[in-house]
Amino acid sequence: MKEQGAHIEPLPESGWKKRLYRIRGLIVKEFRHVFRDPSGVLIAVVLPLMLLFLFAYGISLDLTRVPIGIVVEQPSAESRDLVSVFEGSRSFPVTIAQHRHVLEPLLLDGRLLALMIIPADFQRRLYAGYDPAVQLIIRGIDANTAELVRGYVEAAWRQWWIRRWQQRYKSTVPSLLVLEPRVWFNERVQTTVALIPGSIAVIMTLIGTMLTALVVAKEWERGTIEALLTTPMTRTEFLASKFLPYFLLGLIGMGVVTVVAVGWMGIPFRGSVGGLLCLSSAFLLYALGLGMMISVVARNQFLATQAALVVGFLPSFILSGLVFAIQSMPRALQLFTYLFAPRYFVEGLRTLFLAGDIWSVLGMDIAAITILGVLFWIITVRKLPMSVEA
Amino acid sequence: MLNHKKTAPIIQLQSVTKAFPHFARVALRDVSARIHPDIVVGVVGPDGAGKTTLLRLLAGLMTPTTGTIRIFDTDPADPLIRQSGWIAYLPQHFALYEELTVVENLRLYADLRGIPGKVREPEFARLLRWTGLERFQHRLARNLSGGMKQKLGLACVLLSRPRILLLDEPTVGVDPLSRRELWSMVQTLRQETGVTVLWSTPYLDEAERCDDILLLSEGQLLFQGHPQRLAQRVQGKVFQIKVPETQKRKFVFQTIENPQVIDSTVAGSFIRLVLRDLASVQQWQRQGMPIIPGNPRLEDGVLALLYERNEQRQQIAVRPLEPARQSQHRHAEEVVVSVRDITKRFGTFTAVDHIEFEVRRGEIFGILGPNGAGKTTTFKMLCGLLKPTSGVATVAGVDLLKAPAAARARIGYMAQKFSLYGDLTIEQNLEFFGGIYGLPRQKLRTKVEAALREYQLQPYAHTLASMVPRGYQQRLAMACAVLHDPSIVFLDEPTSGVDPVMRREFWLRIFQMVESGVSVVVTTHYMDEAEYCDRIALMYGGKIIALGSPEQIKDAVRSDQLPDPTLEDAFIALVQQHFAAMQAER
Amino acid sequence: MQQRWHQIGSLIRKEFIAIWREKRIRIVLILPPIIQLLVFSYAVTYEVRNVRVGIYTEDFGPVVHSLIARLQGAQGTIASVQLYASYQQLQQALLEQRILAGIRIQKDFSRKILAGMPETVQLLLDGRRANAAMILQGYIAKMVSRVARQFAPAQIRRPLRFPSLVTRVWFNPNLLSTWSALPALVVILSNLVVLMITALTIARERELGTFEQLLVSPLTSYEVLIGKAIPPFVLGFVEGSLMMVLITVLFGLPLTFQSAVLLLLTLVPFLFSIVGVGLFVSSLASTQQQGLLGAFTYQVPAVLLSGFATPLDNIHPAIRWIADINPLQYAITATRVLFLEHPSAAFLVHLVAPLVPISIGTLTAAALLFRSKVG
Repeated sequence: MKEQGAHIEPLPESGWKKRLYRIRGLIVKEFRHVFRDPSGVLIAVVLPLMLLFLFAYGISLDLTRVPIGIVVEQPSAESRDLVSVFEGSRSFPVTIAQHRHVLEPLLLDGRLLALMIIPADFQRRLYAGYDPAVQLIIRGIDANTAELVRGYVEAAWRQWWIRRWQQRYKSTVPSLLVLEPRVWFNERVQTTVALIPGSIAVIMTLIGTMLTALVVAKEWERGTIEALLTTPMTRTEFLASKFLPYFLLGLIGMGVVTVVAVGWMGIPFRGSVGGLLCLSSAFLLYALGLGMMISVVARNQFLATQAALVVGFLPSFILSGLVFAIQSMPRALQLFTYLFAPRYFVEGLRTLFLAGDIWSVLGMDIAAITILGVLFWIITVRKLPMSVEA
Repeated sequence: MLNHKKTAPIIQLQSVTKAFPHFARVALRDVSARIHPDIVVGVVGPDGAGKTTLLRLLAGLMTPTTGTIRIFDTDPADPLIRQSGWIAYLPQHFALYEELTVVENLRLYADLRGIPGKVREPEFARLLRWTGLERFQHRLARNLSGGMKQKLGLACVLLSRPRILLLDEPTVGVDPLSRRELWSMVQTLRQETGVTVLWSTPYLDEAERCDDILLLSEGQLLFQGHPQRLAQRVQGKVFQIKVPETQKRKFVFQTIENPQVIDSTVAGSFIRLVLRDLASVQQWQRQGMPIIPGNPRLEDGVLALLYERNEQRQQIAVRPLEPARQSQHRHAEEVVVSVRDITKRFGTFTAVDHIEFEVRRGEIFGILGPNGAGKTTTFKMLCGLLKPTSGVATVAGVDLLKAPAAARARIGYMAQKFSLYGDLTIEQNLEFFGGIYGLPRQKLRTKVEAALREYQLQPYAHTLASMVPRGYQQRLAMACAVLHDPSIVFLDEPTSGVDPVMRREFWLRIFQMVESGVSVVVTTHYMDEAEYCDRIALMYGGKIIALGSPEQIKDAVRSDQLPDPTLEDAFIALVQQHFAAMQAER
Repeated sequence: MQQRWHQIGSLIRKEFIAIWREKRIRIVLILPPIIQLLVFSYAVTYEVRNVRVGIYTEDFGPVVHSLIARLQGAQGTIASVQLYASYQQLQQALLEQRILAGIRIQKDFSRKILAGMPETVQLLLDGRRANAAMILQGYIAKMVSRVARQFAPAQIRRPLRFPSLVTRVWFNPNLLSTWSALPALVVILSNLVVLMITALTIARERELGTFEQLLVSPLTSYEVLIGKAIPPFVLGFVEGSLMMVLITVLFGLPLTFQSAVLLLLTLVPFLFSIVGVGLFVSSLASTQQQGLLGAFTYQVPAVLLSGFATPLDNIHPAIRWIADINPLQYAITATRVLFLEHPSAAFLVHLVAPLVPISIGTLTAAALLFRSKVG
């Protein structure tokens, strides 16, 4: 110790430089933490990719098979014509019977999703110009699937009528009024194309909120905060050091997921990288802020994860408009969704990927996300105790 | 050293009271004190006395409920003081970042303290050399021993070259060797840099070497001043009696029950007594026992002062033995624990290296050694928690790793770290442990009640175990370990961090256990406690370097320079010898 | 034997006390599931409601008026119909997501329809919300053909008329999405509660050091596992049943006494399989953080591939097997069936049977892993 006796003098360093040292030190520490514990890598790399693939290959709003039973009470030329429409389509594995009691049990136990009953007097009624009184019974156990089934069967039904009309009247015009639909941004109408960009919101919430919710709670649980608090470190520096590494990690995750989505899964990317960067930066501000707020308030890893799950992950999946349209929810619930940034992020991501840089949309989304994010950070700063009391 | 009485105080406390919401008890009550610069101040007192609260207040981590604290004439919570780095605080469990290596931890704190790059490397090198951590600088903090962790923590807080150093029980859980090292590290530091040190400790021999002490009890300041002044209070009441080696334990056991005796401990080949009055001295003299006056120590003074205020010690009566237990009494020479050539390796690291020993029925067997010597690893192998890499350890004739679970009912285990359920109350903990050991309902009830009574846990029976003072947690841990009447009890540092009053109580219980035929295997860092053991194994670097009765161990180092070595002297000498031999081998 | 159960009983009692002790944890275990049950059940719907449609028209004849009136009259599905002054404005509105669909009507539209001449209507749809757009398209198509029929000359009106398809939905006559969402949510949320508790139980004791105290006790590792498995199971069972009562009372789902009993029986193998998963994760994890992440890594795919939000029908064959071993999938199907229909015994057995081998599988895996880790 002797040779160092002169070292008592305060070290000649200016304030901001010390501040930079402190932040740098904390950030380096944070990175080491993330990469030394296998769970950091799990959150930052494995989970995002796993989720992306799940959304791409496990989730789809389309039905490829609608097993349908058709009861033909009395075969006729017209009934055969109707049945042939279904048989000709690969979406409808058809089971035919003469009596409904043969097919009803199949509907009951889910082997059939729908049952169509063509009455005995079908052909007679048709020729006489009456309504043919065909019945459709849908299995309503899963209402959303039932909704899809109804749409599919009704489309086939319309198709049958137009075809019949064309054949009978030999007209080139099947209908007086033709609807000429054009679907913008998603020409082949694949739900996956709309789902994948939106699913990035779920993934980002996961990285941002879950990871940060854990890290600060851990400092409290392990008691490392006590040692930190006696150093000259300030509140801002502490928060900055928690923000920057995970922000960077989030952007990397974002990049990886985008590259895989565009390069591998063939999702169009019509916007600009700059736009994506702005949008995801704003969202990371929000997600990290939310996670930080949770962990500062909870100070306990179990509670923090539960809270992150409840206010972070699940809303990003259910209340974001990703799978379930927000307009279809009850009014009160719709208002509620305005409080969750994934709603704006999903909208912004879809616009950016499928439509391009439409700043009138993106601007609003970014602004809304930023406001929520800043709000969370303000609460975090307020709630972050700089002493060990209570 | 400056004559501190003449300089202005550096720290002033003015009727400081600190109360916590949700706690009935006040942590600090009306404490006023002045602390002068350039000295080492010992902060002592029983568990829950308010030592940690005091240091936290000084570190600016809390603010007092009423009263004022001035450090350098400023409020310690002032951000400027914090920025200056003049106050450094080493918390009780200095939480190093376990995933970071030694040098990475240092680097983090250097960054936090704003140590510039150019002085950093020499500074690190100096601190690493000073703490002896050079060899381990790339080891993860989680793999360091308790002593090394404390040294690293100290190095981290010293980076800022503080004027005031607040150390909260830095030597708890640290072996005597490292403890001496830490102490001399702090002493040199004070001499060279003039830092003022507040050092809280349960070890009163450490406090005795301080320049000033603050004695706290139940939140109140009982004494401030030079330790010698407190020791002098019992001047003329301290005696040493020579008792035959085999009688020593029994003698301590008997005298401690005497209300005239304040304290009775083994010191080398003598029994040291602190008396309330001198009547019994004549009695012993009449019995022809050689009795000579002794020098009063701080510990004696503290105990005397505490007993003056609180007659509690009288209640630690040792209960008569249960007849059932007495029947199995003393099948002397029966071997209950047998360790044959066991080795344990973790990767390339050999934690335990070919050790052998036996423990007989009714014996207190102590395992001593510096941190990281392999004591806990040995313990865990005996209890069937770890599988030896080679060799066999049997307890009560069976290998616990392979034996049916029921065989484990015969052992009791008290882990080093507090490892009861903090989220259960004291009573629920007892009921739980009794339950999993299969005590029938009715018996469980009576056992739990008896334990609550015997260990004086009733006031806390319905308090969460995590909320009670450490001494009570240790009591509970011991109560849980022996609730099911095991025949072999393993205690891993049962008295670590426990105040002197409670430590004596623990040993009385251990004596009581062995008297009824239970065998006890114990580790400890308190050398005076090691004197109570029948036999000791001294471990170092995974090996047993000495094995025998305390007297035999002391004989091994007895020389002209050391005519009457204490066990601590023996311990340090043997470890150093062994270390030198190892170096020479290389 | 009785004594062994007494010993395990102590462990179980301790687990209950520890779970129930802290108020914050108690709240976290009860309140969020119920709130989520209520909130999400309304959110989980494919129905298209309250959308906005834009129109740019160069024709102001009676047919257009009628079309707009019809669209506006479609309360529920269409919230508002907005007229735009130029085609460009219409496109812009679609671009900015102010409308989900835009209709463009050309000059002479009314005249042509009234004269019986074929005419086309352009419909622009926002593919970013592909699913809603497709459903809306079908809806508008229906409207348009009705208007056309109304104004077409009498001689062609008749063959144009679409015959009606009389649709009935069994088990859920009004096709309420809440009816199928609620039973599924009950299962998902009890899954979550059970998984979170079990995934932490051993990791927590490891972190706190109490685990060694358990290991030196006479309990065998299987007994420790049983003690760890029962409390979360009971908690999940009670919470699941409570939520089922709640949704029956609040939402009027047609639950009979018999199916209620069967429902509880279904919960048993399901919850045990989740307990197995949780204990597996917990044995693997050395810290709580790892335990939680492990639970999460299981829970997310389990929910996504359960058929709760999206049909499982279109799942990629490479990951089909995950859905096939997903206990949640079977439990959701079974609860929905039990709530909404009165299944035959054979059918129910068919639905629930896969849960039995799955629960045996997860519990065995947990036990083997636990043993190997404990040594």
